[in-house]
Amino acid sequence: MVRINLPKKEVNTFYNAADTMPEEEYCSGLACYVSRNLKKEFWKKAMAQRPRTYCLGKCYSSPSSSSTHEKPIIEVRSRKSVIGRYLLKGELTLKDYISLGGFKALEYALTSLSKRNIIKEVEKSYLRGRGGGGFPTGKKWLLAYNQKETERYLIVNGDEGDPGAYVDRFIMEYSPFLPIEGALIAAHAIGAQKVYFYIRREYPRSVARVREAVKSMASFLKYKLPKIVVVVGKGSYVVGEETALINALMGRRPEPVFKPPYPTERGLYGKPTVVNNVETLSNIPYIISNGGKEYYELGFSKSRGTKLVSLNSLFKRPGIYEFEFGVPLKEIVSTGGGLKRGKVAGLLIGAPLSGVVRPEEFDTRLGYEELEEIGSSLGHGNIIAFNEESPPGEILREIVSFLSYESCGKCTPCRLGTKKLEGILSKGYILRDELEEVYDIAHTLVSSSLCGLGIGAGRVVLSFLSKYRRVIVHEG
Amino acid sequence: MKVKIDGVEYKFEKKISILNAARKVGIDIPTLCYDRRLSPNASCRLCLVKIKGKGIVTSCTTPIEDGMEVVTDDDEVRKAVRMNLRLLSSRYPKPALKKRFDQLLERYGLKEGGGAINREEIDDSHPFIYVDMNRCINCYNCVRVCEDIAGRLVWRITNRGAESRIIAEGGSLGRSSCISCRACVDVCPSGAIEDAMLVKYGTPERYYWSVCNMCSLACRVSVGVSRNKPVLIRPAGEKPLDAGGCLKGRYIWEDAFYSAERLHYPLIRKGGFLKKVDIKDAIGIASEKIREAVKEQGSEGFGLIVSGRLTLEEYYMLNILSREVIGSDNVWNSFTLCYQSILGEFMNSIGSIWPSIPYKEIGISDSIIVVGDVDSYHPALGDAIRELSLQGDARLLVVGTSPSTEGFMQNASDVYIKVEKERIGGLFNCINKRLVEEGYVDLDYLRGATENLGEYLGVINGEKSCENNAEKAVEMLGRGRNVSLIFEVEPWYESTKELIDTYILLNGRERRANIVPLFEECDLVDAFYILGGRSIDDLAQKAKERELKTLMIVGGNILRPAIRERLLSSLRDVDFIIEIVPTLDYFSRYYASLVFPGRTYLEKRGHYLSSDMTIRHAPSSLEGTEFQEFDLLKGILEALGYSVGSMEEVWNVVKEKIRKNVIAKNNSGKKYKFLF
Ligand SMILES: Cc1cc2nc3c(=O)[nH]c(=O)nc-3n(C[C@H](O)[C@H](O)[C@H](O)COP(=O)(O)O)c2cc1C
Ligand code: SF4
Ligand code: SF4
Ligand code: FES
Repeated sequence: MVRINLPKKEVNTFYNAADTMPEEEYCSGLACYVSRNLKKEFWKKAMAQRPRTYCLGKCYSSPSSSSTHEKPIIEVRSRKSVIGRYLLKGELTLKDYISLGGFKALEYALTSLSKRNIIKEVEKSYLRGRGGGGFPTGKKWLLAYNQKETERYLIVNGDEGDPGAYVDRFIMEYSPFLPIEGALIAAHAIGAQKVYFYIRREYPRSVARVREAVKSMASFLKYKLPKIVVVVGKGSYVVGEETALINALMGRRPEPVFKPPYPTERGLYGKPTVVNNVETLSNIPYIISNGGKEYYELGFSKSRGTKLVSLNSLFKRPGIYEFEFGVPLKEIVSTGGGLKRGKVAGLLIGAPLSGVVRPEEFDTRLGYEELEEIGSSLGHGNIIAFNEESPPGEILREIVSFLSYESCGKCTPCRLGTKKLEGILSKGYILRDELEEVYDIAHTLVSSSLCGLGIGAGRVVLSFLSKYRRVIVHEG
Repeated sequence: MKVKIDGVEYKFEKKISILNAARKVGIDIPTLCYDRRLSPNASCRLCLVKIKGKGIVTSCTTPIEDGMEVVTDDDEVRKAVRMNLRLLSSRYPKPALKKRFDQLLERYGLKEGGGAINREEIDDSHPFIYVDMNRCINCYNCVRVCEDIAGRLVWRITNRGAESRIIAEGGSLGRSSCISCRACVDVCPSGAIEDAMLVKYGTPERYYWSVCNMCSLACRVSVGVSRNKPVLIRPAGEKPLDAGGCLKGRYIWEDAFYSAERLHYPLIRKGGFLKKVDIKDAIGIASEKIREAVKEQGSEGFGLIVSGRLTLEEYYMLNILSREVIGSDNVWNSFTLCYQSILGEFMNSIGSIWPSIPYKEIGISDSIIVVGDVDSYHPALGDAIRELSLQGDARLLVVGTSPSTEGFMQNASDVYIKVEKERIGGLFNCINKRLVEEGYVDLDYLRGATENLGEYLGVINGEKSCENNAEKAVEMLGRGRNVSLIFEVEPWYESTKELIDTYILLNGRERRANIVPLFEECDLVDAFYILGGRSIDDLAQKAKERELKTLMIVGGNILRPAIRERLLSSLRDVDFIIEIVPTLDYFSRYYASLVFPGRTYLEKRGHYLSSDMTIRHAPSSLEGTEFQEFDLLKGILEALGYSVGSMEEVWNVVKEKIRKNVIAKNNSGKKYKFLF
């Protein structure tokens, strides 16, 4: 039994934007940091702003503020387009979406497939979660489907908080019907009676568009569908972690909870719950319409289908590109057209919970395991290139200070360990005397943190130290 | 289930956590945020262990699995634990108290604590609870115990990350909605939330053993003394059923001991007011009034109401007074006043109302049934049962009727059945029927051990319908080899019969069944002497007819409110009421003509009989408490011309009596009788 809706006053203190925020917000995120020299006055304002804003999803034109409105380049670079084709024409209306073949998959799923067979198609496609965990989506659905409890929920995770990531944002803005269609198929397959669509507050346009879409669909679809509730965030990064998200929806502090039991067994209100990322669900209509097998033929190794990657503003051609898994990193970098300033000194893929990639490693191919192998991780497919203006020690400082700021504080290593590291790194490098302590804390974070945030924090430090130790560590 | 822990293979019956499994076999794993009363939070990250093929996990949340290999302490684990402890200690003031956190710091050789002390983090607005959040290590135990067990939301977490802190509702504990249960004091591992008494009077200089008389379990407890004042009660041991750790026992004594209404000398009513009177004179008056009553009305002119919380020596003295000196049976006690009807059923069926085993032996059961709200009325036992289940020692079937039982016991149960009070009988009838149908009962054995098996089987197979679905319960009980049936008997229970029948049915050559009836508000102890005593109507009648002239009430009255009302209205017609109590209560204030100061259990010498027939010795060791109820009664008896020996001599007589009467009665070899 979980008590819901704890006293709001205290719960709200968890969020940095539950009360008031400045009219114009400036982003302190990592993508804005590495490109700070492109618009120095923006970065200055960001550094002065309290409370801080982390990532406005405008990393293609960063340093960014809430009042600029440029659009990113969007291109399809895969043999077949799964999602990208819905993003090429800007904001779609319901009619536009239908003319592109929208809602055919939902209709087919509702009328011609059994629930079990929908899940089978998704299993066949070998679609994996795009929210960072990479868990096979079909398998997740099956876990919920097999529960005894019949009250079930689906949560769409639109919290996209990773710096440099803005794919979910543009899916929600340009084609909100796509993840909604995927969500309705998912809800139907797992037998969920209600869908919660959680969107971060930093994406006001996404919120408006998804709300609009939910409304406009109501009169259009003749099937009895689960209710979709749109919930808007209040400023927290860790709330994107699925168990924290569930707590947030219940009006509790958005702190992660240990697993197992997984949400598929005990999630929202203690009931079986599937949490899926916006992009993950946006793949579903294609899989249902074309069959899991066809989807599986795209991509390679254990990473199938396509992935939208987002490039930061230091690239000459920053934007969203749909690639098939398996594309070498160097091809992505050249698609971005090289950098506006300086040379590529390294890539941050899947930041902040993932390691750094050195230019020597650019032959690596885009894939879950392949990136893990070089100590990095796919994350949201967010790729931030940095140049020599940003020394690795300072990048690490930015990441660690972000994670310390966003730590929920529940578990010891993350609450106090990231804080301690933040202190040590505040100068932008590590002294030799401090090195042992840094290693000890990082290892402790990796081995004993409760959720991915603390574990990721430790991994980032270890990755930077293994790849840039010589420049990060200074002799006393 | 076979699990290898630190290279040694162990077998476990139930899927319990690695932490509990390890502790069970004597391997300690450090923890701060784990508390056996709470569901795990997994936030301190100290209970780390390494699972072969899986890496480091928190043992408090990871269940054991067949074939699992666990290492509790290798280099990597120790390093991480040490680092987490160091991080925690970096903000902690100098370790001073001997709290669990301080002990861990010492064990890991960490002396870092030297965090600054911020005056604003100290909150002394609450009379019983002292708060110093400088010591807080963010385990959230207080928040969780308040929300999950006390059902309040007094403790709250604000902010996040390194800034997160615990605050009391509204910023001040004294002005919050705290109910002073002090569960948070109990679970706080760092001393951030501490007993105000300890802070005020200091950590105990010494401890002595005593026996808590707050419920019929009569647990042994350890009393901490500072400057000859009791400041702390600790449970006697750490194992379940050593008990004595319940909140009732830990704290209620303060209300009596330190009460502003505490009596220090006798009081006599003069012109409507209570006036101080010398003890010798008071004893003289009491005996005179007793003598007068007997002179006027014969032996029926005097009566006694005795509480269930007295020592055996005191019961003995009262018995002498009533039966030998006066020669009457005019003794009322809480038990017979409340439970007269049910008493008959027990005696008729199994010949005893005593538990068939000492409470400690519940610990060797493999299956336990709990019916009713054990937690509220016998919290120490409730705690122990929950732990037996969580530790995997026994399977637990909980039949819940009230919300509180649900919350506490349900979480620990293997099978949980929720049923309305009126349907408990039906449920057990159904369980009984299925036990028979599915061949789980030893008919050959029962034929010899009961009077009326044939008749019983006829009835349950025929007319008694089975309305509940109880398969899981039946399977659990059927497979058990040592089953304890523990139930809270309420005066209005309709289901006592069916429960007793279940007990009888579960007995067999291959299975031992135990019955442990608990009486929610009243105690069995006094019933030991006065079983078959008189009912409340009888008392009211005697008073009304002005037959009862002098009445003596011994011990704080603990009757259920409904009965108390009826009692009070009849007491108006009694001429002279003598009362012996520790604190002035409404009896003494409005009804008593003569009041003697009594002792709380902390100051008492003597022996208690636990309701499971175990004898517990309390040697008081507070100075200035030499004169006790025993001496008072002795004085009255002597004034009436009857001499008794010393307390030691009395004890020897009592001991002998118990051995003869009770133990013998329990093993009388009488055949059981189904009640249906
Ligand atoms: C600190 C942290 C933050 C996360 N933030 C997000 C997020 O913003 N969006 C998201 O989809 N998943 C996020 N995740 C991953 C979710 O926990 C979860 O795995 C995901 O939503 C599941 O959906 P998927 O299987 O479709 O990827 C985060 C995880 C962690 C540990
Ligand atoms: S790792 Fe950090 S964010 Fe995750 S539960 Fe622990 S304190 Fe919270
Ligand atoms: S006050 Fe005590 S129990 Fe509460 S969080 Fe702090 S250390 Fe834990
Ligand atoms: S006891 Fe397991 S994490 Fe605290």
